[in-house]
Order: sequence, then C-alpha cells, then structure tokens
Amino acid sequence: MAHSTKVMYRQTVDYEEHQNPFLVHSRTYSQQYSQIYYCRLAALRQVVEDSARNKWTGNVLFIDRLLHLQQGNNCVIVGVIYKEMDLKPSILKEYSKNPAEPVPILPVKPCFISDSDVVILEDETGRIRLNFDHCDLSAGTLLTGTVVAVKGQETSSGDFSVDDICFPGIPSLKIPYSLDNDIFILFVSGVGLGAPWNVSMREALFLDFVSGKLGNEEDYEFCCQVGHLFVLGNLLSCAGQETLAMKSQEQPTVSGPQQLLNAEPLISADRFLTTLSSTIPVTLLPGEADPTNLLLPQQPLHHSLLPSSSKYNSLRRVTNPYQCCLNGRKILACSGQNVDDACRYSTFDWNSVEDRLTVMENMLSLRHLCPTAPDTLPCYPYYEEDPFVLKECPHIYVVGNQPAYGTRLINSNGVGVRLVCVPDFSTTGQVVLLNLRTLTPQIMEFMIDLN
Amino acid sequence: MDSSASPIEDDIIIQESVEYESEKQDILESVEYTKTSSKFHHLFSSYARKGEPVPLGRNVENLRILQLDVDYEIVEKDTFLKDLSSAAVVRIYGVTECGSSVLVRVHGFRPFFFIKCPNHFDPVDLPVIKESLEKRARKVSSMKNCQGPIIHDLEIFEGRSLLYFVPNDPSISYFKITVALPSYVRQLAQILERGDIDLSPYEGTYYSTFEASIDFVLRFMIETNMYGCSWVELPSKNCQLPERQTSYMQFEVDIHYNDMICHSPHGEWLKAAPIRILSFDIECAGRPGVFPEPEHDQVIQIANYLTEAGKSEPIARTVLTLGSCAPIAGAKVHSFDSEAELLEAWVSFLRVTDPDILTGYNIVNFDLPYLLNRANVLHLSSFPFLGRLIGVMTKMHDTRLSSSAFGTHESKAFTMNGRIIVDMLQILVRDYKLRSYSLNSVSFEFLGEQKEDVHHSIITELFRGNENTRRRLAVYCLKDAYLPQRLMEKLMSLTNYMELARVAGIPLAWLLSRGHMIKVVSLLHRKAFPERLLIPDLKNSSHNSGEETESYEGATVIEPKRGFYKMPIATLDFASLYPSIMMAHNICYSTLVRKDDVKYLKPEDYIKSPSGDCYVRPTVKKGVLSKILEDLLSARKLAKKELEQATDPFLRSVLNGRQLALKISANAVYGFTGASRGKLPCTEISASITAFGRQMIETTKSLVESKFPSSVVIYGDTDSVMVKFREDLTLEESMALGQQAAELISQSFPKPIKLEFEKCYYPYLLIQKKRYAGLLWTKTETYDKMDCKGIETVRRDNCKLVANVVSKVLEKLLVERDVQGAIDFVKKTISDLLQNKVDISLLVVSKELSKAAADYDANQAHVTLYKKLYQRDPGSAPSLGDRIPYVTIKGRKDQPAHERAEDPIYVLEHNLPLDTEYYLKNMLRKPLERIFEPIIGKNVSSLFEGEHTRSITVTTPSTGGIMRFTKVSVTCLGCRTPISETESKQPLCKYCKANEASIYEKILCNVREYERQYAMLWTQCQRCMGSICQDVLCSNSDCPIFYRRRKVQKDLEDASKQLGRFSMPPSW
Repeated sequence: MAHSTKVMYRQTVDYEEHQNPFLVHSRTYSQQYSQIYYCRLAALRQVVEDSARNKWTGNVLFIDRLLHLQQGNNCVIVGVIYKEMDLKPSILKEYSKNPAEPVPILPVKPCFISDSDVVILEDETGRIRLNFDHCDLSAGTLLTGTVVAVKGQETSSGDFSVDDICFPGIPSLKIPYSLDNDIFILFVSGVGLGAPWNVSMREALFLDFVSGKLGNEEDYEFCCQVGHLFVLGNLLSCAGQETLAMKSQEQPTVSGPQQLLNAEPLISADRFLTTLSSTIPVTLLPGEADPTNLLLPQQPLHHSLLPSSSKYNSLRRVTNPYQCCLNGRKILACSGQNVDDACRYSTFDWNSVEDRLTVMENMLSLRHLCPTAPDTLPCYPYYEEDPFVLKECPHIYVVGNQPAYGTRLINSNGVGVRLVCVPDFSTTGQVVLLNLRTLTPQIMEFMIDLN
Repeated sequence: MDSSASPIEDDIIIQESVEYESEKQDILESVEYTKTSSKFHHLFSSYARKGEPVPLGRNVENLRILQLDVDYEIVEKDTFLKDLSSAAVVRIYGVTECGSSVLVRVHGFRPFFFIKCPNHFDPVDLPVIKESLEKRARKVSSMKNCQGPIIHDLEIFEGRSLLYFVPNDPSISYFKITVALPSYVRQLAQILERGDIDLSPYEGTYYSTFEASIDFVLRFMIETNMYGCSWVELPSKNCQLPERQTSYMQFEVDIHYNDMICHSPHGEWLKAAPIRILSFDIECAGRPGVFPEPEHDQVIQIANYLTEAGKSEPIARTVLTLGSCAPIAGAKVHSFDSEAELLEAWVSFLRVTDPDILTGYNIVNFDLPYLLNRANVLHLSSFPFLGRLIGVMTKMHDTRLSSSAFGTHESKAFTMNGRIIVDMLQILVRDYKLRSYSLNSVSFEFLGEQKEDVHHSIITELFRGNENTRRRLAVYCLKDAYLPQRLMEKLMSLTNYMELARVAGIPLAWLLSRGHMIKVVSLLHRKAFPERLLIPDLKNSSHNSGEETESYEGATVIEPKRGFYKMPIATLDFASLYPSIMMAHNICYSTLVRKDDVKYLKPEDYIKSPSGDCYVRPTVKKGVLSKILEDLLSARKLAKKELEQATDPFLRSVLNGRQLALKISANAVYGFTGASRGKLPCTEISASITAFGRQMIETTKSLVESKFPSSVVIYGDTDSVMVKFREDLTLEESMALGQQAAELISQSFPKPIKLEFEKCYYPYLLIQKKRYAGLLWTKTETYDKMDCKGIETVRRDNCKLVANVVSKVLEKLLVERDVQGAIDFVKKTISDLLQNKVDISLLVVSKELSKAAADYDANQAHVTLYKKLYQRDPGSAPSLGDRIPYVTIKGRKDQPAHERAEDPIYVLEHNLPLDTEYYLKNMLRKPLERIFEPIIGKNVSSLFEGEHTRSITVTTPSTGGIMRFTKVSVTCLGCRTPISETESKQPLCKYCKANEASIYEKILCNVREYERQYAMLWTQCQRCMGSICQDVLCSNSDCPIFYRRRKVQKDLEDASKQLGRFSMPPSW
C-alpha cells in the first residue's frame, strides 16, 4: 500500500463584494416607517408602470396618482399593496386583554389568512380597497408591501374592481462567463449550536467532511473542489435566543457587569468557526437566533463574540441579507425570515418547499427581498432609500433555515436563475452543494446510525 | 342588565325642568324658501329620498307612517275646520314603509282639563257657567283675540280623584272644560285655582284643577291611543293635500283627528321603517393654544355619513371642505372657496337628504352650537334653518336636566322641528359608566378600535397645507362622523330607545330631553283615564325649588360580616323588589286611605304598611299602579318568551330592547312616587314601599337563620341577602339549599313577591357595605364571571396602574385562590414601581381643563402644569376643554404634589425621575389595603414595607438641576468608571475588557428587545391610522401605545449608541 503524500489544494473562488448596501453605519430612530414605503414606491413606480404598459396594450388609461382616479374608467393604478388581516399579531389586541403588560411578546400564527382579509392599494396620495370579484386572480398570494400595477375600475361603492394585476418583473441579468472546471459552493444553515437536543456528532462529521478528513481519496478530491462555505444564519440555536429575550425582559436596563451570560454556545460557535476557517473560506450570515440585532438587515456578528475565529481572514462576517459575486455569478443569500414571513400571507403550505420556491420566485419578480417588512417583519426604519429593492437579478438566490431542501431553475430572458432552499441542519442534517459552473445543486446528508 | 343590581335607584329624582317651546316660534316671513332655492341643491340631488307620489282619494290604499316626532303649532284661523276658529294643529313627522318622509297635520283636537263641580250643582246651569268662563277668559289679554269660542265645551264628568281612597268609593261630578288652545289650559286653571272668577249662581271658591298640567302633545297621544314610534294609518279618502307645503318633507297631508287610526305597537306593528340617520362631524381651524371659538375660527370641514336603518351600506359618505381637497376613495368630496358657501352647502345637504335623526359625537354641545354661532358671525341669514319646517328658524337655548338617575347635565337644546337629535355622547353618559367618554376610548371600549386622534393645533396646520394635507384631515373627519354611527348600531341605542318610546307611550325625543318621570306620567294617565280617575294638579309640584321636603327612611343594609369567604355564599334575591311590593300590597295613590278615614273601613279591607299607612285591599279596589306594573311585567315576560323563540337578528334586538324598556319603566314607577319635586309625589307611598322592603329583608334573615341551623346571613342590601349555610358545603349543596330556602321563604310573602335563588359567590370577599367581590356561579360547571361592586377600577383620577393591580389581585384571590400569589404580585408590583420598571402610561392621570386656569380656586395639579406648559410654549399648550395628562415627578423636599405634575412626554425626553413613592402611598395603598384587610388583617401594612421596597431606582435627569454642575465624561459600559481621555474611544475600561463579549451581549439584548418593541408599536400605529405611506400624527394619549412608542424611540436610540461604541472593524 503505497500512500503517496500528495498535497492537494483547495480550489480558490474569485470573490467580489461591492459596497454592501445592507450595512447600517449610524442608527437613528426618531423617524417613522412611512418613509421606507415611500422610497420603495419611488424606486419601483416607473418599473412597474413600464411593465404594465407592455402587458396591457390598447385602450387603458394610466392614472398617475390614486387621487386622480375617477369612477367608472377602465384604468391602471400603481401603488403599494397592504393587506388588512385580523390574524396578524397585534399588540393592541394584547393590550385590550392586559394593558399592564409592558410590551408583550406576541404569538405569531403560521398563517394570517382569514375570510375577513381586505386588500388595499396605497400610494402617497391615498388608498383604495381592491376587490377581486371579477377576476380569476386570488388575493391569497399577494403580499403587503409589494409595488404593483392593477387594471380595473372604481365601483360605485368606492372599491376598485380588479381585472388584472402586473408585477415589476424579474430584473435582467447578464449571462455569466463560462467556467472550465467544476467548482462547488457549500451552504449550511441552522446548525443550532447550544440547543439541548443538539446532535453534536453530526456537526463533527460535517467539520470532518469540510476539512477533507472523511471518506476516501475520491471524497478528498471532491472536497478540494468545494471552494467556499456559506453559513446562512442560526449558527446558534433559538433556544439560546429565547433566553436572550427573557433576560432582557427581566433586566431591561444595563446596570452593571454582575451577571454573566451563558457563554457556552458562543464558545462552541467560535470553536466551530475556527475549525472551518482554518480550512475553507467562510461567509457567515447571522440569522434570527444569532446574537446580533433583530431588525433586518441584521448586522455582522461582532468580533468580540467570536474572539478566536474572527482573527482568521478567511472568515467573512457579513449581513443578512447579503450579496456578492463568486466567479462572476451573483449570489443573493438570506437566512430565511423574509420567506417565512411571506408564507404567512398566503394560502401556501408552510412546509411545502415548492410553495417556498414560488415565494422566492415571486420576490424576484416583485423586485423586493422582504416586502412584508416592516409590517410584520421587523426592519430598520430606512428613510433615504429602501435597500431591499432588487436592482439586479442574482444568478443564485439562496435562502437558509427552510423546512426541507428544494430547488428550481427559472428563466429570466434566456438566463437561468437558480433558486435554492437550504434546509435547517439541526433537524435534517442536510447541507447543499452548488456547482458554480452548471448551477446544479445537490444535497448531502450527515447521518449517524446509532444502531 | 345586571340581575344583581338593585331594581330601583335608591335615591329619587330631584328635579325635572324642561323648556319646551313649541308655541312661540319665530316665523321668518321675509325669506321665501322653496325646495330648490339653494344653488347647491344639485350637488346632493342623488342622495335625495326616492318615493312615489302619494295617491289620495277613495279606493286607494291607506297611507301608513311610522311616527317619529310629534309637535304642534297654533293657527289663528284653521281653514281645515269649518268654523275657522283658532286651533292647535298637531304635526306628526313620519316615514312610510318605503322611506318617504311625510308630515301629517292633524286638526280638530282641543285640550281639556277638569275641576270639581260646585256642591249641589244643577246641570241646567251648564250654559251659564260656560258663559261665565268664556267671559272671564276674554278679559285676559292673551286670550281675547281668539277666533271662535275660548271655551269649546263644558261637560259633566262623573269620576274620582286618583289620590286617596274614600270609604264607599263615591263618584263625584267634575266639569270637563275643553278650550281652544293649549296655552289657555294653564291660564284658565290658574284663574280657577285663585278663585278669581264669579261662577254665579254658585258661591265663589278656589277650585283645584285636575290634569291641567299635562303636556298637550301627550294629551293628544293619550286621547288618540298613539304610542311613541308607533304606526299611524291615514285613510286616503279623509286626507287632504295642503295648498302650500309648509315643510321640506316629501309629502304633507291634512286630516281630522277622528279619522286617524293609531296602531298600538304589537305584532305586525312592531316593524320598523327605513329611517334616515345622518351622522356628522365638523373641523375648525383654531389658533395656536386656543380651543376653536366661533367668533374667530373658521369651520373648515364637515363630514357626513348618511345611512338608512336596516341597510348595511351608507347612502352618502361625503365631506365638504374649505379649499381644495384631494379625492378620497369611497367618499365624495365637495370643495368650496368660502366658508359661507361651505355652510350654505351643508344646509342644502341637510335639506335634500332630509334625515329623520341627526347624530354625532358631542354635536349638541359642540358641533351644532358652533355652526349656528359661526353662521351668525358670518351673517348667514339663510343658515339657521335646520329643521323640517319652512321658515322656522333653528334657535338654541340652554337646558338643565337634573335627575338622580342621570345626574345633572347642562346642555343646549335646539328648535329643529321634525329632526331628532341623538347625540351619542349624551347616550353614553346616560347609559354607561366609563372611565373616559372621549370618542377614542369609547370606540376602543365598544368597537375594539383605536381611533387616530389629531390635536386641534395640528388641524390648522393640515388645513393650511395643500390638497393632500386637507385630504388627510378630511379622512380623519369622515372617521369621526362614521364612528358615532357604528356606536349607535353596536349598542343598538336607537332600537332600544324606540322600544322605550313605544312602551312608555311618549315621543322618542322626550326620552333624551327629559327624565324618567314623563314615562310614568304617560303610563299613569293612560291607565287612570279609562277608570275615570283624574290626576290632581299639585300646586307646588314643580316650581317651589328651595323648599325642604319630608324625607323618609331608605332601604336597609344588613351590617356586613367582613371577611374572605372561601366557601360558597348563596345569594337570595327578591325579583323586581319594589314593583312586586307595590303589587302585593296594592299600593297606589288610589288605594291610599287618609288617616282619618281608616276608622270607617273594616279591618279586613285594608293593609297597614310597616310605616303606618293604610291601603285598601285589591278586593275593594285595585290600584292603578299595580295594574300598570302588572301590565309592564307581564309584557316583559311575553317579550322575553318571544325573544327566546325569535331567530331574526333584527327582531331579536327589538324584543331585547323591549324587555329592557319594560324593566326600566317598571322600576321608574317607584321613583316617581318619591320624587319630591315631581308631578305627583306621595311620600306615604314611597315610605311604605321601602318599609315593606326593610321588613322583608329582616324577615328573610331571621327565617333563613332559624330554618337552616348553623347558617348565617353575612350581608344584605336592598333586595338581596347573602347566606353562608355551612362551612363545609360544596357548591352543589349550597345551590340546592339556596333553592330550597328561596322556595320556602317565598311562601311567607304575598304574591307576586318572590325570593329567588340565582347565584352563589364562591369565593366571596366582603370588604364593607356596597363593596365586595366574588366569583359568580349560576351553574356548577364553570363560574360565570367575576362580580365586583364598589371597588373602583373605573375612576379616572386614578392611574391605570391601580385598576390593573386591583383587577389582577382579585383574579389571583378569587379565580386562582392563591392568597400568597396575590401578595407576591402586589409586592412585585411595588418593587417594580419603586425600581422604575412600570411603564409610564400606567402612571398617567388626566384631568380636563374645564375652565380658565385663573378660575380654579385650589391648586390642582393639571392647572399648575397647564401654566408651566403655557410658559414653555404657548403654541402647543393645551387649551380649555382639553384633557391634560400628567405624571408626578420628584421635586424639592416639601414641594407640594401639584407643583410636581409634569407632562409625560417631557418626562420621557428629559429622563425626569418619577415620584414612585408618591404613587405607592397616595394611589396604590388605600385600595390594596381595603382588599387585603379582610384577608390578612392587621398584617396588611407588611405589603408596603419590607425587603421588596428597599431597592429603589431613580433616573438621572439629563438636563437641569444637578446636571448643570457635572462634567460629562465617558464611562465604561461595564462598570461605569470613567475612562481616561487617552482611551476614550474604547467602550470598556481595561478591567472590563476581558468580559467584552458578555457585556456586549447584554447591551445587545436590550437593543434587540427595544427593536422588537419599536417595530411592533410603530407598525400598529400605521395600521390603526389606515395608511402606511404617511407619518403617524396621532396624539391619543388614552391609547396604551402612545407613551410606549415615544419611549422606545429614545430607549432604542440610547441603547444603539452604547452598542455603537463597540467599534465595528471591517468584518474581515
């Protein structure tokens, strides 16, 4: 058995990050949420109008502002969708039960849809109720916060009867340059360190795989082709996040250093990342459960929390959402809150990956990453621009912490766009590999058979 | 209705003074009004009432209308009558089944009253007497110009006086004097009472009059058997069309009163008609710091919401604006260049749409007076014609209605013939006891909706902006017009009041403008007259105000045995106590025997009350009051039975309104007899009733305690007793015993008095008389509710914290039965309060600035604060009529509390320290002591002292005071030691550096929590406001969010700044 000590090198990926629009440098909170809708509408109004003019030719009247709407005309209006839904979590309802509660944490229903929902279109000048009685479209899949054009007429009762609806459409993108070799990007999400039920053996297997310690030479060679790792949020478990929230409820003022938090999960996260970063370039997105701010975009994890791993240049701590360019392929990555929240607005099945892919596809076509923010998805109160508006289409749109693996290739003017749902690792043990050359994803599962 | 409430107001109606001017109407001849005169008419023509012309004549269906209001006018020569005499013409304003408005002018009905005939009167002399009366009347200047006779008729009427039973019950002869006009009744009556008349050949004397003080409209309704809001049928062949319309109503007919058919409200005639209801709201542009005044400030918008009863969609949703206004989806906007045009257009709107009912919120004391005064300032002579009669000016006058049931209210009244003003604010103040009557809090209470509140200083800004800001204001104004309508629907106010009008037999409007008594007057007349019983006019009935009246002993209260009862306490109630006493003992004016007459009666013929008054038994003569009550209560039973069977939601609401109305009316009867300044006070009756009541409670107590050994009556009040049967009984056993006791004891009382067992309290906390709380059980499976009496949680001068703590403590004590838990909760709350962890919105107290600051005698917190605010910025300071919210802050030693009141927003912005000990001592302590004393006795003070009160947090103010002398230096975020200047970029000192991660994470926790709150609170306000693209302006400080959302902005910004000090180097 001649074991030649062959040195193998991991393939390098050409990584480009232009200025990250999701970094928030100075924060003020004296403004309100209206500005972000205003900016969103301003950014997308022309786009959706152009798209509508392409879709509806012939005798239709384009109304520039809602207030100029006249009864009875067949016309097109543009605005932001707002859905009134009784099942949305409402702090006011909570207060009517118990006004003494400081600011209670509200239970969030998995679906907000009910019979009493009302769909409204709003612009800077007013709002109007949409009714879908005379069209085949269902209001069920519309999302609050999306900019759309609707065609129809105002009825005598003051509603707008919708005939058809038009989205901005997927933005165009360039065909990426072709690659000679297969090169893989690895995606993992929801590792969930620190959860009591955590199966740490699986994480160890995963680490071994990434560092090439697993399997035979073939596997080892394959491993060298994996050029980059994305950790798509929830590296820590939400069990930890609950205690975080509870602690701050009990102690809402910073009164001294007496009480030390349970640092255990963070230490294991640091160790986990150190191991990874020493063998592969890592991009780390925070997720809902990770120790950073709550409002989207979530900011990169602070270096003091990860003292050891943050010394590695190969670890990039980035925002959620995040976008960059790998070998000329644009990647848009989120850790999943946007898709989860959007699913609550529709009749979609919470656990259906196909439905989730449709939500992702719709987001591209709506040109917005998290339309339901700020209404039901907390986000920073932007007042100069809405950074979540998609100016260009990514080649790869990947979302973490999903109930299961799923993928779809969609076609945007002849260019393929790859959508990927990356499952939650702590419950599935699954990670996703994506071939940058072909944009084909594959799933990989780490199982430990205890028998 | 709360079944445990005492069936009758313990106190009595003191005074009822109503101005009722229907005879003196200003007829403005010079301005000729026709239906189409206004240039704005065409704007609103699409909202006009549709309706077919009324065909008249033979072989045509009769005209049927639902009567909504009745009044009358005086006609000098009534051309409808053959003799062209002076007469009162009764006007009935009504709506047909298909929604046409009809004015019916009823002719020929003349008022009458009675006097006792002189002794030994010979009927032959009738013409002579009539002649003498006529002659005497002609001498009075106000009567001398009467066309035709003044005395139309003089007849002999055989009857009796309602007051006192005379042995052998002889009938007596009276003169029934019928006169030309209503005002003559009182004038003639006065002459007769003074004896200022020569009725030769009979000797001159003073004549007491009967039934001279009854209102003419009521007299008319009683004679024609017409009830309030009832259906009136007019045979077409008898109707005549007038030569000239006198009203803005669609149709007008004339008819003789004998030809009219009045249907009593039963069966088919319970149906409703499509009544038009207009709800409106005005906005005015006030000047900075001053509440709008009509002398100076313009009316800038009027929003209208017009509906038809029984239809879900409104007929019109319009807003009239001064200056351009961007369109509003779903509403019609009409813009005008001048305020005069705006006001004139609104009058046109009113006339074209012709609503039957005007509603709104505080329209009686704000919107309507403002419009009328403003029109006066602008010299708009055509404006003040808001009623339905052409040329009758709408005048405003002050009224004062004081009754013990509703309290004293000063308000405005308007002559607006044919339109009924139903101000939802007044309805709510009458019928509901609330912490706050602002439209915001009322909407939240009943509709579950928070309403955006735009402060009047912002209104002017919005108005001066552009068409979009005015649109914003218009949307707000429309909502204010819409909400009263929603309230009316939700509370079914109109339905309930209409049923009350039907039951009591008086016009709808009287229910709102008068007290309870008029209902009883109507019932009494309706019942007494068929029995030929005449109601005497008591001379000093309504005018002598200062006179002290006899008082009598009220209801009894069995001294409570205070304590916390953990076993079931059965409650035995007398159902409809006072009405049933009156029925059982035949108590009535007509059965009361004068003390001197008692000796002429056989002992078995009368009943002597515990207070010593005697009443004949029903076998001798049945009392009128008993009959009224029997009718009311059996009608109520019937209505309840029908309610059970009814399925149609509208019919159900009508029937429910009806049974409530019947109950209210039955209870009003006792109050009527006791009302010392009422129409017919009779202290003997009310004293007898309460005496019987007291005796019954005592009897019940002794019977229970003797028949059920070891049982104890722990408390009793007016109509109920609380019994503890035995220590160890289960709920089921107690209920069985309660049932048994009720049946047993009922037997010892005459019918229909009935002792009922309805509920157990389990557990029961008895604090003192009229103060208790308990879980109420009517069945054994689950409790019905927590029932609290006299434990104020609604009082406004308390902060919300008190109400919250009290209700939470009661829940812990009664529902969870966890005394220790309740104590712990109180301690935790106190500890939170002292550590400044209680949300500021719970500590806010608010009071209305009801008069100018200089007019307050004592130093009151809100007034002192007002002066402070005015000094700070006169522009944004509150103005008269505003509610001023405040919190109490720490101040100098010995500084009085009123000087330490401060604006909560100012406190938040400047981190001022709250005087939490003041809140503990002055607000929390008393109510909590009261609750806990029966439970833990003297230890109660331990709640307020001890470990949990030792940790006190006081915020450091960011400005003023000691901060002027301190130098701000950078401190370590971990241990707060100052950081040397060289290291000042660092967040932590060198000792804390090692703990950086955990300190960072802790601050991060705060940031996350505040971020969550920020997002939740501000998105909620967007939803409530109904727009996502516009900033939230709402200044509704009643809303639980208002202070929190402001506070979180500041907290989040501070916490973010701290977090920002941890430098964020490039992330890789």
